[in-house]
Amino acid sequence: MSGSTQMVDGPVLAIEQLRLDVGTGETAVRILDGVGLSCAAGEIVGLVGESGSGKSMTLRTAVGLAPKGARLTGSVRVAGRELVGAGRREVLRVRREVAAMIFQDPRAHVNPYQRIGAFVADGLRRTRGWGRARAAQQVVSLLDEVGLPDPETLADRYPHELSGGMLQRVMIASALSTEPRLLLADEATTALDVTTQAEIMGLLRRLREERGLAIVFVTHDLDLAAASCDRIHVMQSGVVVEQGPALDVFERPEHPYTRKLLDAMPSRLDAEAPTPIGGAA
Amino acid sequence: MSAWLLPLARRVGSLALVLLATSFIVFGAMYLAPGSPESFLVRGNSVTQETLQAIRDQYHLDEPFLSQYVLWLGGVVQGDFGLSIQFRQPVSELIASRVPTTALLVGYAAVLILVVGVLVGVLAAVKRGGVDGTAIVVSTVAMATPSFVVAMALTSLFAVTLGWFPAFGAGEGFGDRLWHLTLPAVALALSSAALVLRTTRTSMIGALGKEYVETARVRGFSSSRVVWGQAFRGGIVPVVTLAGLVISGLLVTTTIVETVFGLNGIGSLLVQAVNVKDFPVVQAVILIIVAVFVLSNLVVDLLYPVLEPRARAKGGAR
Ligand SMILES: Nc1ncnc2c1ncn2[C@@H]1O[C@H](COP(=O)(O)OP(=O)(O)OP(=O)(O)O)[C@@H](O)[C@H]1O
Ligand SMILES: [Mg+2]
Repeated sequence: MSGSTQMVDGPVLAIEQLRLDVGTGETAVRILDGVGLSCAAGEIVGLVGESGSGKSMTLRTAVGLAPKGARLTGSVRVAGRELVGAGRREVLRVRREVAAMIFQDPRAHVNPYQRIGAFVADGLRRTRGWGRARAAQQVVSLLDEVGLPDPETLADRYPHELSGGMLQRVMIASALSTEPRLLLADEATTALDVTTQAEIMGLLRRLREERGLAIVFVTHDLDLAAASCDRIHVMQSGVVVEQGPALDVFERPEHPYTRKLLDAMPSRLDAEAPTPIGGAA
Repeated sequence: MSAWLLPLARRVGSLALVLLATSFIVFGAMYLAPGSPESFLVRGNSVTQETLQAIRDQYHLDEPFLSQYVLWLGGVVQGDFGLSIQFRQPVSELIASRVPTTALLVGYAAVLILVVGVLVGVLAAVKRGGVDGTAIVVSTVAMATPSFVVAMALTSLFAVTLGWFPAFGAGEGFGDRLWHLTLPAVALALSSAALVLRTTRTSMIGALGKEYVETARVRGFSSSRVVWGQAFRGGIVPVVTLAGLVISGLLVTTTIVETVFGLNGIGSLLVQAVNVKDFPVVQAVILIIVAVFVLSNLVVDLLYPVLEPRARAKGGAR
């Protein structure tokens, strides 16, 4: 809950009673069923759950990226703008002015045909109408802000010349270019090695601090979520089954599904006595 | 720099080899073909044995095959393709007088192919649905229809019935020439445009589904920016490769189209020359066609790393 009395009232992202159905008649499937989630400025909210539980789908509704033919009910408000039932203009405004998204595989999500500088600058050039020179200058400071060394040289390189970790930083820089208030990170560290993962996580936490970003962080990794997020939402088959402060959820899970998730974590398995293969039920 | 120059030198070398091999094959084919060139020259006229012999001497027809070939090749490398048997005129002059018509026709067709093929291909990929379905049906028919059938259909509809375009001749002056060349260019372009359309469509559907295009959407780019600024850049790469082949291939189809529309280009020249066994002309035209084909392949190959950053010399210093 935000008790603040700033210009911005309420959380940056507020999802309430969100229901998402795809298909018709026999093939109709309910993918999200009454999802609620909020994220305030300066807050990192973790969204965890097994594969197919609807984490990505929830996140994507916040930038108007529901699949074709999906039916949405409920409410998704981003900086006060309602996206459920919104027209294309409203969706574009949210994408341009409020929300940004980063993904699991930066190599696929960065345009391989553009130099890094041009890729990052595009946000400013295409949605703000900035000139080339002005955008290029801003790009250098953005690349610097996300911790990339030698930004001037880097801006001239192509994505295939960079490592996955560097590319994820480039993605973050491009996401930041339009000064969003909400950053949606869909498994943004899953594909990275442990060290790089920790660095990116550290970067996100710093940005939350310095820019007052609201960050929704989707992950499979409950350990990571507990360590890095303020609050955690646990999803199972399209429903948020448990939510609360990160440590509470991690240490005193109330829902059996959360406990099951926690038990399935490799770190927990290591800590306890190994279960014999084919052991007792 | 040398990492760039060496492959180029290799390509130019193989270009020369291809041309040499082509010249040999074409020369051999003409040599083996039935009928002799001088019999065309003397047809209908009574000539003395001496005249006949003079012709045979001039074209070295009594020499063995290999020395005929070498003599001819020696001239070709100096730009001398010999005398046309039919026109009694240097082949190089003859060809030079015919090239402008063909160049304009092929250029016109190439523009039609690229503009129509790429635009409609992108449109079909973006809109899908009815536009896409129509484009698929029309392009399938277009690809399957031989160019002479298209040429005759166009002539009977737009030249004979409607009278919008002339059915014959190349015209005078640029505007008039374009008007005269419109139907031939459409006939020449149609099946290639359909092929380019289909390739563009498939490639763009793939590109529009790429994750980086989704990134552009999430960033709030307008639809046209997403399509032309992001998806198109990658989607066009296979089309460029294909276009090089298809456009140089027009030089082959133009033999038919120029003949049907009575145009004095090098395509109709080739057909005439083959009919009368005017072998210096046949040789020269075929060599030119093959050279254009190989050269445009070279250009496409050199263009590929420019279009595809990931294909640029790995490890080569830049
Ligand atoms: N375009 C789509 N059309 C219809 N159903 C979809 C579509 N995309 C995903 N789904 C379905 O929606 C459900 C939720 O998918 P979602 O991608 O949100 O899961 P997730 O929690 O992000 O899983 P993961 O951890 O594997 O990324 C899944 O059952 C999936 O099959
Ligand atoms: Mg997902």
